[in-house]
Amino acid sequence: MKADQYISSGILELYVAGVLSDEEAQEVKDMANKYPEVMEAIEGIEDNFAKYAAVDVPPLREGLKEEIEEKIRAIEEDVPIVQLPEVKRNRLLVGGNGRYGWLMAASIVMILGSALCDFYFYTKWQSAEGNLASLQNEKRQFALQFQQTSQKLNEETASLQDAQHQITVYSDTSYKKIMLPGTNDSKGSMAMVYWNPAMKEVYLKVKNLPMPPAGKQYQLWAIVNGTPVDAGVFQMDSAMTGMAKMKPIAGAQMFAITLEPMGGSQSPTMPIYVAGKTS
Amino acid sequence: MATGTATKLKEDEIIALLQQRDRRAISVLYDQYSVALHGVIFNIVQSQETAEDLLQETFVKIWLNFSTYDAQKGRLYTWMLNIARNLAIDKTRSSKFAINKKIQNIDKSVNAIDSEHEVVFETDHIGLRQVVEQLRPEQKELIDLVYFYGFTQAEAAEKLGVPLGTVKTRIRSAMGELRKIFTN
Repeated sequence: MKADQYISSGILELYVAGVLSDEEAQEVKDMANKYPEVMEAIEGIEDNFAKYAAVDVPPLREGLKEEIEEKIRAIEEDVPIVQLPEVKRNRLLVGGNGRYGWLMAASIVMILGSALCDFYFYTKWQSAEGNLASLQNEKRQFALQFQQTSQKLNEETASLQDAQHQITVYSDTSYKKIMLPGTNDSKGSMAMVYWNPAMKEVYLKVKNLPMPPAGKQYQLWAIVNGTPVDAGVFQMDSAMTGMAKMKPIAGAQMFAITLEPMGGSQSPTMPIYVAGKTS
Repeated sequence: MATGTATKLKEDEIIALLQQRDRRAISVLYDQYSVALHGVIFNIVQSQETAEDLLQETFVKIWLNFSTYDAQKGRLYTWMLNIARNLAIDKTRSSKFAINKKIQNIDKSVNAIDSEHEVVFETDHIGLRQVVEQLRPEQKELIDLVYFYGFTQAEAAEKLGVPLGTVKTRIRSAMGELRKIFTN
Protein backbone atom coordinates (compact mmCIF):
# COMPACT_ATOMS: atom_id res chain seq x y z
CA MET A 1 0.00 0.00 0.00
CA LYS A 2 2.64 2.46 1.15
CA ALA A 3 4.85 1.55 -1.79
CA ASP A 4 2.00 2.19 -4.25
CA GLN A 5 1.46 5.68 -2.95
CA TYR A 6 5.16 6.31 -3.04
CA ILE A 7 5.39 5.17 -6.66
CA SER A 8 2.56 7.45 -7.77
CA SER A 9 3.92 10.47 -5.89
CA GLY A 10 6.21 11.41 -8.81
CA ILE A 11 9.37 11.39 -6.70
CA LEU A 12 10.79 8.38 -8.58
CA GLU A 13 10.74 10.32 -11.85
CA LEU A 14 12.66 13.14 -10.20
CA TYR A 15 15.10 10.58 -8.81
CA VAL A 16 15.77 9.12 -12.24
CA ALA A 17 16.15 12.63 -13.68
CA GLY A 18 18.79 13.28 -11.00
CA VAL A 19 17.24 16.46 -9.64
CA LEU A 20 16.69 15.46 -6.01
CA SER A 21 18.82 16.55 -3.07
CA ASP A 22 21.23 13.98 -1.59
CA GLU A 23 18.91 13.30 1.35
CA GLU A 24 15.85 12.84 -0.85
CA ALA A 25 17.80 10.54 -3.17
CA GLN A 26 18.94 8.51 -0.17
CA GLU A 27 15.32 8.13 0.92
CA VAL A 28 14.35 6.82 -2.52
CA LYS A 29 17.27 4.41 -2.44
CA ASP A 30 16.19 3.10 0.96
CA MET A 31 12.62 2.63 -0.28
CA ALA A 32 13.87 0.80 -3.38
CA ASN A 33 15.93 -1.53 -1.21
CA LYS A 34 12.96 -2.16 1.05
CA TYR A 35 10.26 -2.60 -1.59
CA PRO A 36 11.06 -4.57 -4.76
CA GLU A 37 8.07 -2.93 -6.49
CA VAL A 38 9.68 0.49 -6.01
CA MET A 39 12.87 -0.80 -7.65
CA GLU A 40 10.79 -2.21 -10.51
CA ALA A 41 9.02 1.11 -10.90
CA ILE A 42 12.38 2.91 -11.14
CA GLU A 43 13.50 0.56 -13.91
CA GLY A 44 10.17 1.08 -15.66
CA ILE A 45 10.60 4.85 -15.49
CA GLU A 46 14.06 4.53 -17.00
CA ASP A 47 12.61 2.58 -19.94
CA ASN A 48 9.75 5.03 -20.38
CA PHE A 49 12.10 7.95 -20.22
CA ALA A 50 14.10 6.45 -23.07
CA LYS A 51 10.89 6.20 -25.11
CA TYR A 52 9.88 9.74 -24.27
CA ALA A 53 13.31 11.10 -25.16
CA ALA A 54 13.31 9.21 -28.47
CA VAL A 55 10.10 10.77 -29.83
CA ASP A 56 10.93 12.63 -33.06
CA VAL A 57 14.62 11.79 -32.77
CA PRO A 58 16.34 10.33 -35.84
CA PRO A 59 17.91 6.88 -35.38
CA LEU A 60 21.64 6.63 -34.69
CA ARG A 61 23.83 5.95 -37.69
CA GLU A 62 24.99 2.43 -38.42
CA GLY A 63 28.44 1.69 -37.10
CA LEU A 64 28.47 4.37 -34.39
CA LYS A 65 28.62 1.67 -31.74
CA GLU A 66 31.71 0.13 -33.34
CA GLU A 67 33.33 3.56 -33.62
CA ILE A 68 32.80 4.16 -29.93
CA GLU A 69 34.15 0.72 -29.03
CA GLU A 70 37.17 1.33 -31.22
CA LYS A 71 37.81 4.73 -29.69
CA ILE A 72 37.73 3.33 -26.17
CA ARG A 73 39.87 0.38 -27.18
CA ALA A 74 42.45 2.83 -28.54
CA ILE A 75 42.38 4.88 -25.34
CA GLU A 76 42.80 1.77 -23.21
CA GLU A 77 45.55 0.23 -25.24
CA ASP A 78 47.20 3.58 -25.65
CA VAL A 79 47.37 3.08 -29.41
CA PRO A 80 47.51 6.41 -31.15
CA ILE A 81 44.65 6.74 -33.60
CA VAL A 82 46.19 7.62 -36.94
CA GLN A 83 43.82 9.80 -38.86
CA LEU A 84 44.40 11.04 -42.33
CA PRO A 85 44.45 14.80 -42.28
CA GLU A 86 41.30 15.98 -43.94
CA VAL A 87 41.97 17.33 -47.43
CA LYS A 88 39.46 20.06 -48.10
CA ARG A 89 37.88 19.87 -51.48
CA ASN A 90 38.96 22.80 -53.53
CA ARG A 91 36.19 24.29 -55.60
CA LEU A 92 38.70 25.69 -58.12
CA LEU A 93 39.65 22.17 -59.08
CA VAL A 94 36.16 21.15 -60.00
CA GLY A 95 35.42 21.65 -63.64
CA GLY A 96 38.80 23.20 -64.48
CA ASN A 97 39.69 23.18 -68.20
CA GLY A 98 41.42 25.15 -70.98
CA ARG A 99 44.47 27.25 -70.29
CA TYR A 100 44.33 26.68 -66.56
CA GLY A 101 44.73 22.97 -67.12
CA TRP A 102 48.45 22.81 -66.45
CA LEU A 103 48.02 25.01 -63.40
CA MET A 104 45.37 22.60 -62.11
CA ALA A 105 47.65 19.64 -62.72
CA ALA A 106 50.49 21.36 -60.87
CA SER A 107 48.20 22.26 -57.98
CA ILE A 108 46.93 18.72 -57.75
CA VAL A 109 50.47 17.41 -57.60
CA MET A 110 51.34 19.97 -54.95
CA ILE A 111 48.29 19.28 -52.86
CA LEU A 112 48.76 15.55 -53.10
CA GLY A 113 52.44 15.96 -52.23
CA SER A 114 51.62 18.17 -49.31
CA ALA A 115 48.95 15.77 -48.08
CA LEU A 116 51.42 12.91 -48.34
CA CYS A 117 53.97 14.91 -46.37
CA ASP A 118 51.32 15.79 -43.81
CA PHE A 119 50.45 12.16 -43.47
CA TYR A 120 54.06 11.09 -43.28
CA PHE A 121 55.00 13.57 -40.57
CA TYR A 122 51.76 13.07 -38.73
CA THR A 123 52.37 9.33 -38.55
CA LYS A 124 55.96 9.93 -37.48
CA TRP A 125 54.81 12.31 -34.80
CA GLN A 126 52.16 9.92 -33.61
CA SER A 127 54.59 7.04 -33.33
CA ALA A 128 57.13 9.26 -31.55
CA GLU A 129 54.41 10.22 -29.10
CA GLY A 130 53.61 6.56 -28.64
CA ASN A 131 57.27 5.69 -28.07
CA LEU A 132 57.67 8.49 -25.58
CA ALA A 133 54.59 7.36 -23.67
CA SER A 134 55.79 3.77 -23.48
CA LEU A 135 59.28 4.85 -22.41
CA GLN A 136 57.82 7.03 -19.69
CA ASN A 137 55.72 4.12 -18.62
CA GLU A 138 58.77 1.86 -18.44
CA LYS A 139 60.62 4.45 -16.42
CA ARG A 140 57.75 4.61 -13.97
CA GLN A 141 57.77 0.83 -13.67
CA PHE A 142 61.49 0.77 -12.93
CA ALA A 143 61.20 3.53 -10.36
CA LEU A 144 58.38 1.65 -8.67
CA GLN A 145 60.34 -1.61 -8.65
CA PHE A 146 63.40 0.10 -7.25
CA GLN A 147 61.35 1.70 -4.54
CA GLN A 148 59.77 -1.61 -3.59
CA THR A 149 63.11 -3.39 -3.50
CA SER A 150 64.81 -0.78 -1.37
CA GLN A 151 61.84 -0.73 0.98
CA LYS A 152 62.07 -4.49 1.34
CA LEU A 153 65.79 -4.21 2.01
CA ASN A 154 65.15 -1.62 4.73
CA GLU A 155 62.60 -3.89 6.35
CA GLU A 156 64.96 -6.86 6.23
CA THR A 157 67.80 -4.81 7.72
CA ALA A 158 65.54 -3.54 10.50
CA SER A 159 64.37 -7.03 11.41
CA LEU A 160 67.96 -8.31 11.36
CA GLN A 161 68.97 -5.53 13.73
CA ASP A 162 66.04 -6.40 15.96
CA ALA A 163 67.10 -10.03 16.06
CA GLN A 164 70.72 -9.12 16.87
CA HIS A 165 69.56 -6.80 19.59
CA GLN A 166 67.34 -9.51 21.07
CA ILE A 167 70.27 -11.89 21.27
CA THR A 168 72.25 -9.24 23.18
CA VAL A 169 69.37 -8.64 25.55
CA TYR A 170 68.90 -12.37 26.15
CA SER A 171 72.58 -13.03 26.80
CA ASP A 172 73.48 -9.79 28.55
CA THR A 173 73.58 -10.45 32.29
CA SER A 174 72.92 -6.80 33.08
CA TYR A 175 69.33 -7.42 31.86
CA LYS A 176 67.09 -8.88 34.55
CA LYS A 177 64.61 -11.42 33.32
CA ILE A 178 61.29 -10.97 35.11
CA MET A 179 58.54 -13.50 34.62
CA LEU A 180 54.98 -12.11 34.56
CA PRO A 181 52.59 -15.05 35.00
CA GLY A 182 48.83 -14.72 34.46
CA THR A 183 46.70 -13.62 37.40
CA ASN A 184 43.49 -15.35 38.48
CA ASP A 185 41.69 -13.17 35.91
CA SER A 186 43.83 -14.50 33.06
CA LYS A 187 45.13 -17.92 33.91
CA GLY A 188 47.64 -19.38 31.51
CA SER A 189 48.85 -16.00 30.28
CA MET A 190 52.54 -15.28 30.37
CA ALA A 191 54.91 -12.44 29.54
CA MET A 192 58.54 -11.62 30.25
CA VAL A 193 60.20 -8.29 30.94
CA TYR A 194 63.91 -7.82 30.30
CA TRP A 195 64.99 -4.87 32.34
CA ASN A 196 68.30 -3.07 32.67
CA PRO A 197 67.83 -0.71 35.66
CA ALA A 198 71.17 1.04 35.14
CA MET A 199 70.36 1.82 31.47
CA LYS A 200 66.64 2.17 32.30
CA GLU A 201 65.88 -0.09 29.34
CA VAL A 202 62.77 -2.25 29.32
CA TYR A 203 61.95 -4.95 26.73
CA LEU A 204 58.77 -6.97 26.69
CA LYS A 205 58.18 -10.43 25.29
CA VAL A 206 54.66 -11.85 25.22
CA LYS A 207 54.35 -15.63 25.45
CA ASN A 208 50.61 -15.85 25.78
CA LEU A 209 47.87 -13.21 26.10
CA PRO A 210 44.32 -13.20 24.72
CA MET A 211 44.03 -11.15 21.48
CA PRO A 212 42.79 -7.68 22.44
CA PRO A 213 39.31 -6.77 21.08
CA ALA A 214 39.02 -4.01 18.45
CA GLY A 215 39.81 -0.57 19.82
CA LYS A 216 41.75 -1.99 22.80
CA GLN A 217 45.45 -2.40 23.45
CA TYR A 218 47.60 -3.83 26.25
CA GLN A 219 49.66 -1.47 28.40
CA LEU A 220 52.65 -2.26 30.60
CA TRP A 221 52.93 -0.67 34.02
CA ALA A 222 55.90 -0.41 36.35
CA ILE A 223 54.86 -0.32 40.01
CA VAL A 224 57.18 2.21 41.66
CA ASN A 225 56.74 2.50 45.43
CA GLY A 226 53.13 1.36 45.17
CA THR A 227 52.23 3.72 42.27
CA PRO A 228 51.68 2.42 38.71
CA VAL A 229 53.91 4.23 36.19
CA ASP A 230 53.13 4.00 32.46
CA ALA A 231 55.73 1.86 30.68
CA GLY A 232 54.02 2.13 27.29
CA VAL A 233 51.51 0.32 25.07
CA PHE A 234 52.56 -2.35 22.60
CA GLN A 235 51.44 -4.18 19.47
CA MET A 236 50.64 -7.82 20.04
CA ASP A 237 52.39 -9.07 16.89
CA SER A 238 55.73 -7.37 17.53
CA ALA A 239 55.72 -8.38 21.21
CA MET A 240 54.89 -12.00 20.27
CA THR A 241 57.30 -12.56 17.38
CA GLY A 242 60.12 -10.46 18.80
CA MET A 243 60.48 -8.00 21.62
CA ALA A 244 58.79 -4.67 22.15
CA LYS A 245 60.95 -1.83 23.42
CA MET A 246 59.06 -0.09 26.20
CA LYS A 247 59.43 3.28 27.94
CA PRO A 248 62.52 3.76 30.13
CA ILE A 249 62.03 2.78 33.77
CA ALA A 250 64.68 3.33 36.48
CA GLY A 251 63.32 1.69 39.60
CA ALA A 252 60.37 -0.62 39.99
CA GLN A 253 59.23 -3.33 42.38
CA MET A 254 56.81 -4.91 39.98
CA PHE A 255 55.62 -4.99 36.32
CA ALA A 256 52.01 -5.59 35.30
CA ILE A 257 49.89 -5.55 32.13
CA THR A 258 46.29 -4.31 31.78
CA LEU A 259 43.93 -3.90 28.81
CA GLU A 260 43.29 -0.25 27.91
CA PRO A 261 41.63 1.77 25.18
CA MET A 262 43.80 2.37 22.06
CA GLY A 263 46.71 4.62 22.93
CA GLY A 264 46.76 3.70 26.60
CA SER A 265 45.47 5.27 29.84
CA GLN A 266 46.81 7.53 32.57
CA SER A 267 46.11 4.94 35.24
CA PRO A 268 45.50 1.21 34.86
CA THR A 269 42.05 -0.28 34.30
CA MET A 270 41.37 -3.46 36.25
CA PRO A 271 41.78 -6.41 35.90
CA ILE A 272 45.49 -7.07 35.73
CA TYR A 273 46.27 -9.80 33.18
CA VAL A 274 49.85 -10.66 34.14
CA ALA A 275 52.15 -9.35 36.88
CA GLY A 276 55.56 -10.18 38.34
CA LYS A 277 57.89 -8.86 41.03
CA THR A 278 61.34 -7.61 40.05
CA SER A 279 63.09 -9.41 42.92
CA MET B 1 33.00 -9.04 -30.29
CA ALA B 2 29.65 -10.72 -29.81
CA THR B 3 26.78 -8.29 -29.54
CA GLY B 4 23.04 -8.28 -29.50
CA THR B 5 22.28 -10.27 -26.40
CA ALA B 6 18.54 -10.38 -25.97
CA THR B 7 18.49 -10.26 -22.18
CA LYS B 8 19.07 -6.94 -20.54
CA LEU B 9 21.70 -6.70 -17.84
CA LYS B 10 20.79 -5.23 -14.49
CA GLU B 11 22.51 -2.07 -13.39
CA ASP B 12 24.68 -3.73 -10.76
CA GLU B 13 25.87 -6.29 -13.30
CA ILE B 14 26.94 -3.47 -15.62
CA ILE B 15 28.57 -1.63 -12.73
CA ALA B 16 30.54 -4.79 -11.92
CA LEU B 17 31.76 -4.98 -15.52
CA LEU B 18 32.80 -1.33 -15.44
CA GLN B 19 34.62 -1.82 -12.15
CA GLN B 20 36.59 -4.68 -13.69
CA ARG B 21 37.38 -2.35 -16.62
CA ASP B 22 35.79 -4.95 -18.87
CA ARG B 23 35.24 -3.31 -22.26
CA ARG B 24 32.19 -5.47 -22.95
CA ALA B 25 30.47 -2.98 -20.65
CA ILE B 26 30.59 -0.42 -23.47
CA SER B 27 28.70 -2.72 -25.81
CA VAL B 28 26.06 -3.38 -23.17
CA LEU B 29 25.77 0.29 -22.28
CA TYR B 30 25.33 1.19 -25.91
CA ASP B 31 22.66 -1.44 -26.48
CA GLN B 32 20.68 -0.50 -23.41
CA TYR B 33 21.15 3.23 -23.02
CA SER B 34 22.23 4.86 -26.28
CA VAL B 35 18.63 5.67 -27.23
CA ALA B 36 17.93 7.47 -23.96
CA LEU B 37 21.25 9.32 -23.91
CA HIS B 38 21.04 10.28 -27.55
CA GLY B 39 17.43 11.38 -27.04
CA VAL B 40 18.43 13.79 -24.31
CA ILE B 41 21.35 15.17 -26.27
CA PHE B 42 19.36 15.54 -29.48
CA ASN B 43 16.52 17.31 -27.70
CA ILE B 44 19.01 19.85 -26.36
CA VAL B 45 21.25 20.43 -29.41
CA GLN B 46 18.65 19.71 -32.15
CA SER B 47 21.29 18.51 -34.58
CA GLN B 48 21.88 14.88 -35.42
CA GLU B 49 25.55 15.30 -36.34
CA THR B 50 26.38 17.16 -33.15
CA ALA B 51 24.28 14.76 -31.10
CA GLU B 52 26.14 11.74 -32.45
CA ASP B 53 29.50 13.35 -31.72
CA LEU B 54 28.40 14.23 -28.23
CA LEU B 55 27.09 10.71 -27.68
CA GLN B 56 30.51 9.42 -28.54
CA GLU B 57 32.05 11.86 -26.08
CA THR B 58 29.53 10.77 -23.47
CA PHE B 59 30.60 7.14 -23.72
CA VAL B 60 34.27 8.04 -23.54
CA LYS B 61 33.57 10.11 -20.43
CA ILE B 62 31.55 7.30 -18.87
CA TRP B 63 34.47 4.95 -19.44
CA LEU B 64 37.21 7.30 -18.24
CA ASN B 65 35.39 8.87 -15.30
CA PHE B 66 33.64 5.79 -14.01
CA SER B 67 35.66 5.91 -10.78
CA THR B 68 33.81 9.10 -9.84
CA TYR B 69 30.44 7.37 -9.97
CA ASP B 70 29.02 6.94 -6.47
CA ALA B 71 26.27 4.34 -6.26
CA GLN B 72 25.18 5.89 -2.96
CA LYS B 73 24.17 9.08 -4.72
CA GLY B 74 21.97 7.62 -7.43
CA ARG B 75 21.50 5.24 -10.32
CA LEU B 76 24.18 4.66 -12.95
CA TYR B 77 21.48 5.62 -15.46
CA THR B 78 21.07 9.01 -13.81
CA TRP B 79 24.80 9.57 -13.64
CA MET B 80 25.18 8.85 -17.36
CA LEU B 81 22.21 11.05 -18.13
CA ASN B 82 23.93 13.86 -16.29
CA ILE B 83 27.10 13.47 -18.33
CA ALA B 84 25.15 13.52 -21.60
CA ARG B 85 23.06 16.48 -20.51
CA ASN B 86 26.04 18.53 -19.34
CA LEU B 87 28.01 17.91 -22.54
CA ALA B 88 24.99 18.93 -24.61
CA ILE B 89 24.27 22.07 -22.58
CA ASP B 90 27.95 23.08 -22.71
CA LYS B 91 27.81 22.66 -26.47
CA THR B 92 24.84 24.99 -26.87
CA ARG B 93 26.78 27.64 -24.94
CA SER B 94 29.70 27.64 -27.37
CA SER B 95 29.61 30.47 -29.88
CA LYS B 96 30.35 28.30 -32.91
CA PHE B 97 27.27 26.30 -32.13
CA ALA B 98 25.06 29.39 -32.10
CA ILE B 99 26.16 30.38 -35.62
CA ASN B 100 25.55 26.87 -36.98
CA LYS B 101 22.16 26.91 -35.33
CA LYS B 102 21.17 30.07 -37.20
CA ILE B 103 22.20 28.58 -40.52
CA GLN B 104 20.22 25.46 -39.75
CA ASN B 105 17.15 27.47 -38.88
CA ILE B 106 17.28 29.11 -42.28
CA ASP B 107 17.66 25.69 -43.89
CA LYS B 108 14.76 24.44 -41.88
CA SER B 109 12.38 27.20 -42.97
CA VAL B 110 13.32 26.56 -46.59
CA ASN B 111 12.72 22.85 -46.19
CA ALA B 112 9.51 23.40 -44.29
CA ILE B 113 7.77 24.29 -47.55
CA ASP B 114 7.74 20.70 -48.76
CA SER B 115 7.80 19.06 -45.36
CA GLU B 116 4.28 17.81 -45.94
CA HIS B 117 5.68 15.14 -48.20
CA GLU B 118 8.24 14.05 -45.64
CA VAL B 119 8.29 10.41 -44.61
CA VAL B 120 8.50 9.78 -40.90
CA PHE B 121 11.21 7.23 -40.33
CA GLU B 122 10.42 5.65 -36.99
CA THR B 123 7.01 4.10 -37.42
CA ASP B 124 6.74 2.85 -33.86
CA HIS B 125 7.29 6.36 -32.64
CA ILE B 126 4.35 7.79 -34.50
CA GLY B 127 1.91 6.32 -32.03
CA LEU B 128 3.92 7.46 -29.09
CA ARG B 129 4.36 10.90 -30.55
CA GLN B 130 0.63 11.34 -30.86
CA VAL B 131 0.19 10.18 -27.32
CA VAL B 132 2.90 12.46 -26.00
CA GLU B 133 1.15 15.29 -27.79
CA GLN B 134 -1.82 14.64 -25.55
CA LEU B 135 0.19 16.25 -22.79
CA ARG B 136 -0.68 19.88 -22.25
CA PRO B 137 2.12 22.13 -23.52
CA GLU B 138 2.89 23.39 -20.02
CA GLN B 139 3.11 19.81 -18.80
CA LYS B 140 5.49 18.88 -21.59
CA GLU B 141 7.57 21.96 -20.91
CA LEU B 142 7.96 20.96 -17.28
CA ILE B 143 8.86 17.36 -18.12
CA ASP B 144 11.43 18.59 -20.64
CA LEU B 145 12.97 21.01 -18.15
CA VAL B 146 13.34 18.26 -15.56
CA TYR B 147 14.27 15.38 -17.84
CA PHE B 148 16.34 17.01 -20.53
CA TYR B 149 17.80 20.00 -18.76
CA GLY B 150 18.00 18.56 -15.23
CA PHE B 151 16.16 21.44 -13.59
CA THR B 152 15.28 20.93 -9.93
CA GLN B 153 11.74 21.82 -8.93
CA ALA B 154 12.98 25.08 -7.42
CA GLU B 155 14.91 25.98 -10.59
CA ALA B 156 11.88 25.19 -12.74
CA ALA B 157 9.75 27.44 -10.53
CA GLU B 158 12.22 30.28 -10.97
CA LYS B 159 12.51 29.76 -14.71
CA LEU B 160 8.73 29.76 -15.22
CA GLY B 161 8.09 32.48 -12.64
CA VAL B 162 5.55 30.50 -10.65
CA PRO B 163 5.53 29.53 -6.96
CA LEU B 164 7.41 26.37 -5.97
CA GLY B 165 4.24 24.76 -4.62
CA THR B 166 2.51 25.21 -7.96
CA VAL B 167 5.45 23.71 -9.83
CA LYS B 168 5.49 20.72 -7.50
CA THR B 169 1.80 20.07 -8.07
CA ARG B 170 2.17 20.48 -11.84
CA ILE B 171 5.19 18.20 -12.08
CA ARG B 172 3.36 15.63 -10.06
CA SER B 173 0.34 15.69 -12.36
CA ALA B 174 2.51 15.82 -15.49
CA MET B 175 4.50 12.78 -14.39
CA GLY B 176 1.24 11.04 -13.52
CA GLU B 177 -0.09 11.78 -16.97
CA LEU B 178 3.09 10.46 -18.55
CA ARG B 179 2.92 7.30 -16.46
CA LYS B 180 -0.65 6.76 -17.64
CA ILE B 181 0.40 7.20 -21.26
CA PHE B 182 3.11 4.58 -20.93
CA THR B 183 1.10 2.01 -19.01
CA ASN B 184 -1.68 2.06 -21.63
